[in-house]
Amino acid sequence: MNLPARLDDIGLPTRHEDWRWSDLSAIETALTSAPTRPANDAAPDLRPWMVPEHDGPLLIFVDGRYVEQGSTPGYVKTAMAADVDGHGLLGKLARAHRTVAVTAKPGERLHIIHFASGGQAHLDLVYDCPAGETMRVIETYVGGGDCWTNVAVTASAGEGGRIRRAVRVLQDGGVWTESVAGTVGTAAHYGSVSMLGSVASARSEYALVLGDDADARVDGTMVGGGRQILDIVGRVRHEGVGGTSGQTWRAVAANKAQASFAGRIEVARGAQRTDANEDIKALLLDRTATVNAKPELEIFADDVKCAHGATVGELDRNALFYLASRGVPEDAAKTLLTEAFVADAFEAVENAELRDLLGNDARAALEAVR
Amino acid sequence: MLNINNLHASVGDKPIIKGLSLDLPDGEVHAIMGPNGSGKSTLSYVLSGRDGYEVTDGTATLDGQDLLAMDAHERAAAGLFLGLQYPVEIPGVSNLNFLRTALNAQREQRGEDAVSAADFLRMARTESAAFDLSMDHMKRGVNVGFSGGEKKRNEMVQMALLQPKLALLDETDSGLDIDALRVVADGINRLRDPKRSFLLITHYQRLLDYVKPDRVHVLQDGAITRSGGPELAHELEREGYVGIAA
Ligand SMILES: Nc1ncnc2c1ncn2[C@@H]1O[C@H](COP(=O)(O)OP(=O)(O)O)[C@@H](O)[C@H]1O
Ligand SMILES: [Mg+2]
Repeated sequence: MNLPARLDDIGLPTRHEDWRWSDLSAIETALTSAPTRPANDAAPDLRPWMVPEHDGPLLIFVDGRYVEQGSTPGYVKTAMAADVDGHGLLGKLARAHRTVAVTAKPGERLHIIHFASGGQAHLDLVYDCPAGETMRVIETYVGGGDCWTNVAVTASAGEGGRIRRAVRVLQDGGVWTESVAGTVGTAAHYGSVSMLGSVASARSEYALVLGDDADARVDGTMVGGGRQILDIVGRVRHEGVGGTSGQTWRAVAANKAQASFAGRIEVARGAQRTDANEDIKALLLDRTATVNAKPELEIFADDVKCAHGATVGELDRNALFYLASRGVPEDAAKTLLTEAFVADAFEAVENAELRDLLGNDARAALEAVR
Repeated sequence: MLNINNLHASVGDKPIIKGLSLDLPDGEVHAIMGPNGSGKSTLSYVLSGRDGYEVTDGTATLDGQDLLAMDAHERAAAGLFLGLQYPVEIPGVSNLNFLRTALNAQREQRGEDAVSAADFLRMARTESAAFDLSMDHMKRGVNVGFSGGEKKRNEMVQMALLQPKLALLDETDSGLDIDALRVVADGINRLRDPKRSFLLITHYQRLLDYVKPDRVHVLQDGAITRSGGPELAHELEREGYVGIAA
């Protein structure tokens, strides 16, 4: 299959509901662009984005190519993986055009870092967590320019297995898209936390299917300024009894940015005692910014608890006065309150260093948009 | 310390403070008592520079500096502290972080060095213990999940750490049980100093049994209608504001 050269080659369902807030023109630009780094080049200096004290495997990619120099794959397999269903178009595209597939199994925490310099890059990540095991992964996306980074993540957690995934989208411009297809087995857990900033356009699609007593969390923060377009399209489907799920998203939009969330909770027939929650809050720093929030419920069982809340607002004036009355100047007070607002989305992160890392990423993104 | 002269202030288009004058000398404690809605909280907000409270006439100075010309955070750095009637909850900002940010922001404005993390922690430990708040409370979000009394004691911790020249305490005593009232009163008495003044806004004379005021002022409909010694608080308690008004 040839790499797509035009938007039409991809056949994205642009008129479909799920795509109404996404920006495709930036993808188009990337399709007609090429990497600015030569293909035989070693990795650029990635030190600013490394995870402090990381001692697990490290996989470095540049423009979709795996770079051996500097990578320490350890137990992680980088080869072609078998096709797995469950993806939308973006995911299928990534799987068809990957240069390499990463298949990770439990072990130490894995860090995957992708540097984009231009053109399109497709990554195929497979997280396969057997029963009773725990796997942890951090993905960091950096670089920038006229690039499109497209990622397919296929995650499956066997009975009692736990997958913990952190995603840092710190690409300076360009497009970043991901398609996540997850199967969360009996009493298993899938938890992801994302920090989306600086990229010109981002789209995260996720579709998770939960079995009996399974638990899933998909949390994240979007920080947008300029004309950034950030778009979350989520689907969490409860097929077993006693499943729990939570989706907590915080968005900060400044200038002419647009942040959108469409999150669908599905409870299948017979999925009794499901407890599903969606908590969306957005902060508008400027009146010219836009936030869209669209929670959706589709419930075919009767004994379920589903809660969703979406609020769009400005900083709490009482809190701003409280800080001012204690001597904190307005700008510093706003910064403090905004950082606290986004940090809500990182609450479920168990590892304190990782929480700090995400907090620092968020702080840098917030500084950039004001 | 604090000189207020013929102060008029409005909220929206509604005049609330109507020609209020008050002199609070260095080292003294004055009480302002008045019925609900008489403008006590409004006065505290006007003095501390809250948005939406517009001064239409008069002056207010702190140690000769024009308070009304300063932004709220500058007034704090100049030594003004407001203990709020309804302290605000700030989820996601720990009490310790809030306090340290405040203390160092004030110090920076005054051209002083920042307090180190270790020194700050020592001070915070001492003062939270003095007001019977656990370190767990200090690590939690500001006032999040605090009881009414805990919120008021937290205001006192802040006052003790920030060491203001002038403390305006707006009904710090309401919502406190008798033990907590004692803790708060002891704290105020401990901070009394020839160079520090207090303006206690209160409803009841209860607090004034523990913190002896030098003067008591009655605030009615936005102006001071009577001033006197500590005995005025007892008179008010007996006869009510209606009896006093004439
Ligand atoms: N933000 C506001 N908007 C409109 N009216 C207000 C506002 N704040 C206070 N007021 C009015 O000002 C008057 C004085 O209120 P306040 O200062 O809170 O009184 P006190 O503290 O003495 O009980 C009341 O009539 C109240 O309704
Ligand atoms: Mg009041």
